[in-house]
Amino acid sequence: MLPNLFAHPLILIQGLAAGIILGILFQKARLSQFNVIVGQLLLKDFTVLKVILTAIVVGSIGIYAFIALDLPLQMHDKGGSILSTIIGGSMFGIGMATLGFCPGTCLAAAGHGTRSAWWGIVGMLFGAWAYAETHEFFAKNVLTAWKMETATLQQLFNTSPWTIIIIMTIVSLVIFKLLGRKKATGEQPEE
Amino acid sequence: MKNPLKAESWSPYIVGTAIGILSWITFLIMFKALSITTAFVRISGFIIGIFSYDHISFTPYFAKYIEYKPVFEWQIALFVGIIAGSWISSRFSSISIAPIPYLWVQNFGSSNRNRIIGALIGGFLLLFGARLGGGCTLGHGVSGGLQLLTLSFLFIGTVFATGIITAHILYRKK
Repeated sequence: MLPNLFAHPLILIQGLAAGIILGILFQKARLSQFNVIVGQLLLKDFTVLKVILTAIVVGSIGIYAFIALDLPLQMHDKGGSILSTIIGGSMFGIGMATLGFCPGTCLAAAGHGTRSAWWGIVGMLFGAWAYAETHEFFAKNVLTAWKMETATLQQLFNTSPWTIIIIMTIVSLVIFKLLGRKKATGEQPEE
Repeated sequence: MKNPLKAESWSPYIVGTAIGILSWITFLIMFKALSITTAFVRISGFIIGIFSYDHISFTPYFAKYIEYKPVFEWQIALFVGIIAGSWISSRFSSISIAPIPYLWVQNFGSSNRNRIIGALIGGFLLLFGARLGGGCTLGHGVSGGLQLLTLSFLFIGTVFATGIITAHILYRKK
């Protein structure tokens, strides 16, 4: 007996629209290219950092403005622990350097024409399967170890979210200014 | 006015801003955070379910995503959309993609087999690490970051640290 396979069409259309926009944004930012992602990890190309920091600054201003305006909003917090975050993050970092993409940019790379991106997707499906099979072990031993008591930075530093946002914006602008002074190292003519 | 889609690339600051604004929309109107790794769990579970539905029912982590909720939902649509959007965008671009990335060839040669193995291992570690760590660069980096979640910043910091070390070990020849 198969459960209901598809969510409501409206939800699917919203997801598709958001995805198409994201795919265009990734491709135009060159995040669909191996040399850009690995270039970031080799500290030669800072596109990844610039995109992520800008997204966080702009995103947080909007989200916390919505919260201040009392608009209906859900926070999406995956939980987890300090230990699971560090172990998971380490595996992710090694994987990202090896494949040359993260999951989202790998999809963009596939759309853009990188053949190995499809093998990356296959590898990711196996990784998801392996985790699903071993999740019980991690739930018992890792996901509860060194729990983070303060979910947000504002709680951690016992201040208002806007203090965090303002500091983050200033730090980001300083980083961007410093990066602007570095000459972009020549990128390969093709991917 | 020149078609912006035809531009070689857009400023990372503009793209970052656009992703931030897209997040406003997904949070406020769709009640969703941009993230992508659950889609991989769903797809792999669905494929396995074709061979053995019992196995899905009896593996709680899969059952959670496959049995009690529709398999093909928002994030799967996002998954398809990203591939499609990138493809559409690349139609306007003149950037050609090498069969095997240049940096990889420099360090591991041009055999397809090596690259495939690297991609499989890398992909495996990415998703296993993401599910254990609670997200990926979209889920933690963007969505977690803009919510100012402590663990998200820890995740991204760890990813950068280990990724930077690994990349310097793997890609010695530039």
